[in-house]
Amino acid sequence: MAEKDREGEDDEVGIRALALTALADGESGRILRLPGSGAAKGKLEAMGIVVGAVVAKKGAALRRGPVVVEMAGSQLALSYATAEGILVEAPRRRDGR
Amino acid sequence: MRRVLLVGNPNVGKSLLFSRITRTGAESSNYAGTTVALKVGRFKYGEGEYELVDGPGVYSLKDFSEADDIALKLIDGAGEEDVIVDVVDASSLERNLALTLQLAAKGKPMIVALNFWDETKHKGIAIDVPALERLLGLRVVPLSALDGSGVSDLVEALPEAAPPAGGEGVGPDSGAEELWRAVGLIVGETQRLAHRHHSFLERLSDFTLHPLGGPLSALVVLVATLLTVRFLGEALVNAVLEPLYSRLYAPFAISLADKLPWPFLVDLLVGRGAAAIGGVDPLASFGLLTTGLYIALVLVFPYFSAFYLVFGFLEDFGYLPRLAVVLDKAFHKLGLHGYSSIPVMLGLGCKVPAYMSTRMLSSERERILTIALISMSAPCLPQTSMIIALGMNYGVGTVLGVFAALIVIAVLTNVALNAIMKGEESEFFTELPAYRMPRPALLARKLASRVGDYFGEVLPMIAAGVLVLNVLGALGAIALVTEAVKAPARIILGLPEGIAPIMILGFLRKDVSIALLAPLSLSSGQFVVASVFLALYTPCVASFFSLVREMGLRGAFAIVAIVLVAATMGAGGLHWAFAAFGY
Repeated sequence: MAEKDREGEDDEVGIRALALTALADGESGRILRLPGSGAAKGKLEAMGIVVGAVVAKKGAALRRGPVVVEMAGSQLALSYATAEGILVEAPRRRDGR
Repeated sequence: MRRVLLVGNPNVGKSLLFSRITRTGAESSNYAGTTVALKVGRFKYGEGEYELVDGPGVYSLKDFSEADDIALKLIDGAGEEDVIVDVVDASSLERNLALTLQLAAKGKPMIVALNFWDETKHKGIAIDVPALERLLGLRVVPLSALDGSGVSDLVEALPEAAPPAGGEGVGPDSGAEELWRAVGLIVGETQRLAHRHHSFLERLSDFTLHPLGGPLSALVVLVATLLTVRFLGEALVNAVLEPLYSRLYAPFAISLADKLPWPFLVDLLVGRGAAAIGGVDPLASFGLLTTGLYIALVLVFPYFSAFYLVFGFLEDFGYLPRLAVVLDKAFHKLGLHGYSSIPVMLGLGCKVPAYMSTRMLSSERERILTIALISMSAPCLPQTSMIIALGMNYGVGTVLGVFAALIVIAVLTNVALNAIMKGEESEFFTELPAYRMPRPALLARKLASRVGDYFGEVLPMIAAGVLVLNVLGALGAIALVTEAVKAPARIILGLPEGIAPIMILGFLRKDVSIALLAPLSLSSGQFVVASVFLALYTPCVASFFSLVREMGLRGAFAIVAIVLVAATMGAGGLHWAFAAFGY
C-alpha cells in the first residue's frame, strides 16, 4: 500500500501530484483538477471542492469504498470513483511538511 | 402579506427554526434532504402578519437538483416586501457562507440567522458577529433553534430587513473558485478556532467510519435496533394493546353486532359468524372493526411506533449518513448506493415504514430497486422471531439455512433486476454532519408527527384491505384459491396440502402463518422450504397497501409478481436440491 501511495511523486520540485485516493489518512492536499464536467462537477463545487481548495483525507472504507474527506470545517463522504478523479498536490512526505 | 423565506444548506435546522417560529411541529432530521416539498406556516408579530416558507436545503443556487430548482424559484420569486432568512450552521460557518454570498448577490432583503449558536462555545469556535455583519453587509442574528434562544431577536429584526449593503460579497455571475475564495477571506477575518481535544462524539464519529469499526458499529446498531424495537413492540402489544382489545374492545364490538339489524352489515363490520359463535377471532373474522382494527392497531402499530422512535434517535444523532458510507460498497453491487441501506434496514423491522422512507431516495429507478430489495430481504421482525422460535426445534443449522437462503434469493433477484433496469447510477456523495445528542422533546414531536402519518395514510389502507378480503371471502374467492394452490404446493414445493390455508392467512399476518406450520409436522428440509416461501411469497396486507400508496396499483402488483416468482423459484429450487441430496 505504501509503495502505491508514492505514485506520481516528483523528486525535482518537492511537490507531488496525485489522486485524492492516494493521500495517506490524515494527509492534506490542494486540489489541482476536478473530475467530470457540468452538474457532476458543479455538485462538487457547491460543497467547496473547487480547484485551489485544501482537502484532508480522513480515511476510507476497505476495498475501494467511499472516501471521507474534511474541508471547509466539515466532513464529506465521496464515492471512490469520484475521489479517484480528484487530482491534488501535496508536499513530499519525506521532506517533513 | 410579507413572506419570510427560510433558506440554507441541508441539515442546518431550518425545519426546527420553522417550528420554533410557527410552533407547528414540522419534522427535522440530521441528514440531508428532509424538506423537498415546501412547508408554509403563518405567524404574527407586533403589527405584522407573516407567511413563513420552509425552503428545501441546498448547497448552491446553481440548479443541479430538484431541490436547487425549488429554492431558486422561491428566491427569484421573492418581492421587495419579502425577507430571505439565510439559516447558517454557526458550527460550520465556512461550508454555509458560500450559499450566503450567492443569496446576497441576489440583492433582496435578507437576514442571516446563525443557528446552533450555543454549540459554538463548547466546540471552541468564536465568531465575531459585528465583523461578519460588516463583511456581509447584512444583519446577523445568533440564535439556537434547539433551545429557542435568539429566535425572538430574529423575529424582531424582520421589519428592518434590508438588501445587502457595502459587504465584501461576490457578483451574481462569479465562478465557484472565486466564491470559495471570498468565503475563505471572510471566515479568516471573523472566526477563531480554539485548539482543543477531540470530543467523545468526534472520536465516536471516527470510529463509526473506520474500515473495521464502521462495519462493526453498523452491526451493533442493527442488532441493538432490532432488539429494542422487539422489546418495546412486544411490551406494547402484550401489556397494553392486546389486553385492551380483547378485554375492553372485543366485547363491545360483539354487543354492537347483536344490536345491528342487517346481517350484511354485521358481516362487514364485525365479521362472518361473529354473533353465532359468540366470539370474534380477530384474525379470522375479516370484519372492518375487528380484523381491520386488530391488524392496524394491535399488530402493526406497536412495531411501527417503536421502530420510528429508535429510527428518529439515529436520525437526529446523525448516524444514518455514516451507515450509508459503511454499506455503500455492498449496495453498489446491487446498483444502489449507501442511502438505500436505510429503508432496507427499516424493512427488517417492518415493511410499512420501510416503504415510506424510500421517498428520500433521489431517482425513481433507485426507489424501485430499493423497494424490491426491501420486499425480498423479507422477514419482518415478528416473523424473524417466529422463524427462530419454531426453527430452533430443528436446530441452529435449520434456522441459519432459512436466513442464508433468504439472503441468497434477495441478492440474486436484485442483481437480476439491476441488470434489467439499466440506468444512470448516481455517484454517492454526502455530507457527514457532526454527531449531536438528540433532545427528547424533539424526538417526541417527530414521533408524534409520524404516528399522525400512520393514522392518516397507512391505517385507512389496512382497513380497506381487510374490507376487500371480507368481500372476496363472502364471494367464495378465498376458498377457491385455497383449493387451487394445494396441488402446486405439493408438486413444486413438496409441502403437504395443509399449507394452502396458511398461505392465505400469511397475507394477514406473516408471523402467525409461520407458527401454523407447527402442527404440520414438517421435516427439517420442508420447514426451510416452507419458511422461505412464506416469508417471501407475498407482502402482508399492511405492507401491500402501503406499497400501493408508494408505487401505485400497477407498480405494487409488479413488485408482488416479481417477489412471488422469486419466492416460488427459490423455495422450489431448495425443495429439488433437498430431494436430490436425499435430505
